[in-house]
Amino acid sequence: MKNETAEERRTLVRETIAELLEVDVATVRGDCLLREDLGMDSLTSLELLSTLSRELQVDLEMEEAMEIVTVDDTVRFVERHLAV
Amino acid sequence: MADALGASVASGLEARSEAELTRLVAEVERALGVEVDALAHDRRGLLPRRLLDSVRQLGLFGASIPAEHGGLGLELVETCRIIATVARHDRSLATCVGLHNGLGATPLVSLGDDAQKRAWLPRLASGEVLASFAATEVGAGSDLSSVATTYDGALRVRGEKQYVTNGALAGLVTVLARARDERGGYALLTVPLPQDEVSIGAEERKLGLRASSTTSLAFEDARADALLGERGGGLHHAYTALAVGRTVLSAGCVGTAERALDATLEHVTRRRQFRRAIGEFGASRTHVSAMAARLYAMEAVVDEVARHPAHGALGAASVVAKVFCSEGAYEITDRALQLHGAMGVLEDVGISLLARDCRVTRIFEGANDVLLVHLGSEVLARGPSPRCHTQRRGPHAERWETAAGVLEATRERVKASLGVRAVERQDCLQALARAYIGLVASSCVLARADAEPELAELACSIGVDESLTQLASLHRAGSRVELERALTDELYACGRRWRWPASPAPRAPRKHIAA
Repeated sequence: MKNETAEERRTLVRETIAELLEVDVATVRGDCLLREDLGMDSLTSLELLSTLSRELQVDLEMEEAMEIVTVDDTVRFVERHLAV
Repeated sequence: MADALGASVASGLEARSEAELTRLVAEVERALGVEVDALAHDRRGLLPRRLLDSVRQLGLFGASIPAEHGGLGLELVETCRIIATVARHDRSLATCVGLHNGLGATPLVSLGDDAQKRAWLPRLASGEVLASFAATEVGAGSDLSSVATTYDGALRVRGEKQYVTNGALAGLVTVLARARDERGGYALLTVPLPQDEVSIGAEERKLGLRASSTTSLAFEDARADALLGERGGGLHHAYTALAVGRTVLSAGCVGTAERALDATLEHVTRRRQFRRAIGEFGASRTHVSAMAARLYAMEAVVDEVARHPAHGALGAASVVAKVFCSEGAYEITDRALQLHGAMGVLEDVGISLLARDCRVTRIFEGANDVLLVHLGSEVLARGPSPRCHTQRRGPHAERWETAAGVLEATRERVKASLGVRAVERQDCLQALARAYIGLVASSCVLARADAEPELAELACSIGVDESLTQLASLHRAGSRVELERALTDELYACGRRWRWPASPAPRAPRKHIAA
């Protein structure tokens, strides 16, 4: 999984968010605010990271989940952990 | 009497000392004691117009509304005292008044602009217009992010809301909706009622709170009066309002529990069995002391939370109060019912009404199961440590410190072993949340422990013991979760066709064969 391209990882993040929230993936744009636009609360944010952690086989810190604001933030957060 | 109360309320506001508030509460108590017949309201399934008029005259619909707009301008903790008093007489009435003052009026008070406030708050304060709050939908119960109700640029609202308290009584409803555009952010909007574009559903027939109005509301491009707060902030504002609503609901639980204890004390000291008042038996004393201790802790929690209302994203303190008080009130009314024996199950005695009313509150305004999962995730991720509200040292404070240390160690252990995937273990999140709630409740008890040391000892140990029990349960949680998953997978696959596997037939006794 760690060998996926950046674009594939971006798609995975958007698809995971869409699946969690049961919305059309087309509505999950990079600049969408997770809370205000998509209605994610702290629990759903953690569920998102948990799913990504499993899919990408990477350990993610839950404290940092609270700092993620947009969809693009989530992608960058994952990239940062994959680079470690 | 109402005019006299109005005068005393006004004077009470000038110097809202504890004594003044106590006097106000006593006045409300006296007025409602004459007017309220909760059993009759429950049977008829509605609150009489005359009673609502009396509540208007008492000024209770303006309890939380600022004095400059004609209300009593009470702080949340004072409003809670009033709602608890109303609940002692009729929980349905307390639900109506509490919803109006809490979820109903709060968004307008905190988010409305001057024009909106001038237009509506005086009418809400007088009770001429009752307020309501509509968030829940068929597909969005405890998960408000799933709301499908929308609004357009002209503030026309379309969608259907369910379980709307005060639905048939309200003249103004605050609605949570999503923008009908590409961005689709959430917003709170005020919708005046009645209007042709809003259909009010039939009154729901409920387990409890039967005299309070609960209906659906269907919006067919209904005209909204205004958008409250900024676009996109709707969910955040809804959660903030819910935090206030949950605190007011918790105060109602305190009132019902007080009523149950009143009735129980009267019953167990009068009713005689085996030549003794039943209250003299040890089994009865166990029930009664547990009721008193739990009630004491509930009052302490509501008092603490209402004095420092949490306006965070989730309002963790209000979740603590809601779960602790709704479960506590149900436990207390259940014990009251048990002590009343066969009389307890007779509707005309009134105890079963208290239990039915309390049962509903474990589900309304956020089902406790869901709230526990959310609170547990907060405890795990953010690590809010329960604060001990007393500097006083002693055995209780020491036990509390020990339990708080166990919570902290358990949280770290869970994070180390499961990482972010711990969020998928709802049993784990709920146990952490319950441990946290137990510690917060004990802390609140310790803060007011000086006056009633015996009660405080019982109440404090209830919270600490609950906390330690929950944390200990996590040590064996893994295997239990596996068993639960296997069993439920099998049951879900069978559906209504489920049956226990047939036991092997017992063998017939072997006949003795004579040689």
